[in-house]
Amino acid sequence: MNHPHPGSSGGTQLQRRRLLKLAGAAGLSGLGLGTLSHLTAAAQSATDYKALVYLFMYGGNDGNNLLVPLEPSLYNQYQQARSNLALPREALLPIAPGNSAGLQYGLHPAMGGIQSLFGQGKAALLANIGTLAVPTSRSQWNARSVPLPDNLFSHSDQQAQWQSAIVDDAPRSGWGGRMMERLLATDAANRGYGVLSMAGGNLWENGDRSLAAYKVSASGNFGFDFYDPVGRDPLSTAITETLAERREHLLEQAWNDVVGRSIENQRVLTQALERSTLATVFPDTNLGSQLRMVARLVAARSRLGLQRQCFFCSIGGFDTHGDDQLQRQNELLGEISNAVAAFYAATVELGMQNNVTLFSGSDFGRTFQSNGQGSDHAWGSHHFVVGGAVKGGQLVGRFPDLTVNGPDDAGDGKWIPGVSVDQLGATLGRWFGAGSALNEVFPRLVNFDADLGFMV
Amino acid sequence: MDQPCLFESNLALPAQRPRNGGRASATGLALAALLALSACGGGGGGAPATNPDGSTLAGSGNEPPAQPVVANRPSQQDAARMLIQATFGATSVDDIEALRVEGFERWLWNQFNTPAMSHTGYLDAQRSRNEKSRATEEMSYEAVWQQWLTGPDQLRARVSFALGQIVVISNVAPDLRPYAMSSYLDMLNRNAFGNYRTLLKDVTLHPAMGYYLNMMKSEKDDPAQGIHPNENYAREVLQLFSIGLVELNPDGSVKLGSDGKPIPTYGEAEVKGFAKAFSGWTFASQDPARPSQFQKGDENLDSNWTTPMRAFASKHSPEAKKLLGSTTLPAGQTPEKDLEDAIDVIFNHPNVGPFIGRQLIQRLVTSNPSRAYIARVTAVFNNNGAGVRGDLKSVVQTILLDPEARVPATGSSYGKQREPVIRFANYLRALGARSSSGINAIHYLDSTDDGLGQSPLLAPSVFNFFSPNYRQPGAVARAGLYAPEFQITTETSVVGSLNFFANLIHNGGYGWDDNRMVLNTKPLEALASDPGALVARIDALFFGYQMGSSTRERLTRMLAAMPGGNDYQRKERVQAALIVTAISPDYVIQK
Repeated sequence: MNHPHPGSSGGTQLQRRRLLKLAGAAGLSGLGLGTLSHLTAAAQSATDYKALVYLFMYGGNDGNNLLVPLEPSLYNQYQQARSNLALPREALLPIAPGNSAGLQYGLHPAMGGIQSLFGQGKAALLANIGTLAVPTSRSQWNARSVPLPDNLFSHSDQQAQWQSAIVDDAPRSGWGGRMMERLLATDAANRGYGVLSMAGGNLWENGDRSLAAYKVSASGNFGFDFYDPVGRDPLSTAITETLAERREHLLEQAWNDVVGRSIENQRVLTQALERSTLATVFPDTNLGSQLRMVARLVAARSRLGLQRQCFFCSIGGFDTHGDDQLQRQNELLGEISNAVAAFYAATVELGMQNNVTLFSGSDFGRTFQSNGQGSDHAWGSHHFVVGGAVKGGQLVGRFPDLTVNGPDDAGDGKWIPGVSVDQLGATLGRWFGAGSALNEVFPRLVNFDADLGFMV
Repeated sequence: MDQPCLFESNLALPAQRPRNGGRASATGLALAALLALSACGGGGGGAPATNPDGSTLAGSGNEPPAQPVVANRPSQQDAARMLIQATFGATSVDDIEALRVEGFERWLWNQFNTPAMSHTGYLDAQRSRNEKSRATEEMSYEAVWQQWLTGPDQLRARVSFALGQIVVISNVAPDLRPYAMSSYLDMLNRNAFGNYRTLLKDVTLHPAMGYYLNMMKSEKDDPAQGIHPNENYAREVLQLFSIGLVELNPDGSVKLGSDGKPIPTYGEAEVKGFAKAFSGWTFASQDPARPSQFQKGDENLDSNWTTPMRAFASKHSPEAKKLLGSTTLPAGQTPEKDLEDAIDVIFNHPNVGPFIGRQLIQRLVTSNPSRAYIARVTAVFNNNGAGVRGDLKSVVQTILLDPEARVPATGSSYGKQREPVIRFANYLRALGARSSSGINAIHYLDSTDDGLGQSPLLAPSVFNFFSPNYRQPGAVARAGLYAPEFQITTETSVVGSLNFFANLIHNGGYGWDDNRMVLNTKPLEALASDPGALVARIDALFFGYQMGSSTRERLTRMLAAMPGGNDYQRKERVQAALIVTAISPDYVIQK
């Protein structure tokens, strides 16, 4: 059991209003940067730089409305089964995957940015992906004759499994963190900055040795107002001494560690980001700010000197059981599509589009059938991967048969995934250069085809 | 059917004393609710709570327990620790001394019998501030802080807050109406020392929860439309509000099956069964005789948010319902009967004691209670000594008077991080914060950039701000320990929250205009020419007389290094000491 989504925040109007309010309420006056010491990391040109960006949709995105078949008989099946949740056919944004034998699909109407990237071959769609222990058929599901992930349909557990690729135990580490433990030299300068989170704590970036997600404020606020880490005044001295004192009590030391890391953040990131500016305009949304900060950090990569980095971003509010599902999902997917389009443009501006790959994840999909208002927790769902190194314009995996109680259904239109999270991670991991460590990072990968083939 | 008392009064009493020319009957209704509160177990000024068999519940006899003789008084440190665990902090050293004289049993008895502050009453009183005389969400937040900062019902407020972090509602998606939130908090206050079964039922039927987790307007299956009852509430009431995902032993440890794996408490069939059992409920204003009204209801009608939901038999799943274990409800029961039966099944599951007891211990005392401590609390949850299961008053008393709560364990893991909002309340109370209007302007504290990363009624989801099972990566996780509050303690949030405290201290208050809570640091400044005396007072008010010797030496040395010859310099000394306190691990971690 792990991690609801502490740092994540919904993209609702309300929350934006709240953030604006807060921004007006109290300003931060950063410290004079001139007093800070130099970066210890030797600035080096990272010729072989690669980054993964995990965009997590907390709450369980309804993938059934992210990707809809347009072929008339399949669309009719969709429309009949989804009743009040069916999107009108004419509103869907058509895409023609190069590998779907001419079958057309429609993206959610708010995802124009993704549609455009797909058309340019810079985005691929993953059909019916989810958590699995082994490849699983409907008859195996019905008979419970194969191992299944623990606590399917539970938010906290499925979030943890999407982030950890561990489906049969309470996971303590994530697959991003485990990969980075093996990719970064143990003595690499700034090693901790290999796993950066714009969205608070997450499991994906926690390693199995020493790495733990380093949190970065999407707004770029890093500094303590009241404390100069190199100051000699009595207050600064007292604080420095307080934080330097080793505590025997584990929770006390944990507190000191976090505060110490935040001061380290202030020192390293403020300098690294000092001249990191972008011409690309990002939408003024929560996710837009997160992805803008990721792009700025990519721009500042040589100052941190790491050749591999993982970034975690999130957006919440996808648990759409209620009758506001269509409106809410429209808002959220629009926020995603616009922010991701800007992010891709920023990587182009930086000349790094082939070195940065963004991919989406979520707790689970949602029931194909309506509960009369919205939809309930389900299993497999559709996702996207974006970047210049992605073999875009294709549909990866098999689109499920949308027959309720049909061959892909675990009940009520809960699609049994055709592709596992391990396969997504391993395909990305191979591109990332972690090929030899993949079986260690993904303990169940041996059960699956390890390369989905969507990366160059 | 046994309607919750507040709601019953709400419906039964006529609107009283309407203000502003007799408009707005909702005002009167809520006022009636306020008046009714003291008559129905919300306090009652000394009226003893009794069991169905007439015996008296623990801590609630007609007569308060006697004060201890002088020799048996708790120590200063233990009294201060009790205030840290069970209230929002001492307001003065007199508070601590009064508790010593009174003794814990008598203090608890008095707290159990102190009436609750009414949150809807606050909205009634404040709504005229709004240009359309509507209550606002900000008013709902202010009411929380009003109770925390000024209420005499401190233990009730603290237990309600703890319960509200289990049975979570939040104004973050979807938006909740102010009366929905405040009425929900009144409901938690009313049940804080009541019975967990009543609480579960009141939570289930409260329109705020109905709206938040979509039980409201959930209908029976419609195969033609491919529609099934909404599973949201059914799933979370099991996973989060009562029993959790896996079977537990009475000491909170996970039971293992013959395959060595945890035993799930329920599966999809049970979720569907509960979803059916809970189908057919909507706003109280709707008429069951007119099925077309089921999906409607006026969201602008305040009483719709303060009155329990109403059942439409025509919208209720008629089939048999598979529930927990071997229980199946027969087909054809009324929605009311199915609901009562379903609540009984949940409430009587053996997991409820350890599942809820552990979390209440974590919210009040320590993040990692021993198995024996959990088992002692479970035993009282299961039977309060008078044959009653689920008696929260006895559970709270047991948690706070347990040896593990009263005698801080030595060692390296006892205690918990004080939640950020509780630290903030502690500062405002200890520093005598007051506004000229008598109310506050404390609203949104959830920003991690410049707030506390936590704010009442603004959790990111029903999973609350943090999980009871969160493990902080590093030494804490390696030791197998939980540290729930550390889930919102990040490199970014500590910057935001420590700046927040520094701003509070430097600015001398929080809020604006007449509602600005102004700190009164004069009593501390009066001590500030003597560093030792100032540090001793801070030790009492903030550290519960548990300041570590290194912190004491550092603070004293810092103060001595600062000039203290005039008022301004003495104020600076106080501010510096309060800032170092905010960052000191021996303050942040209560033990």
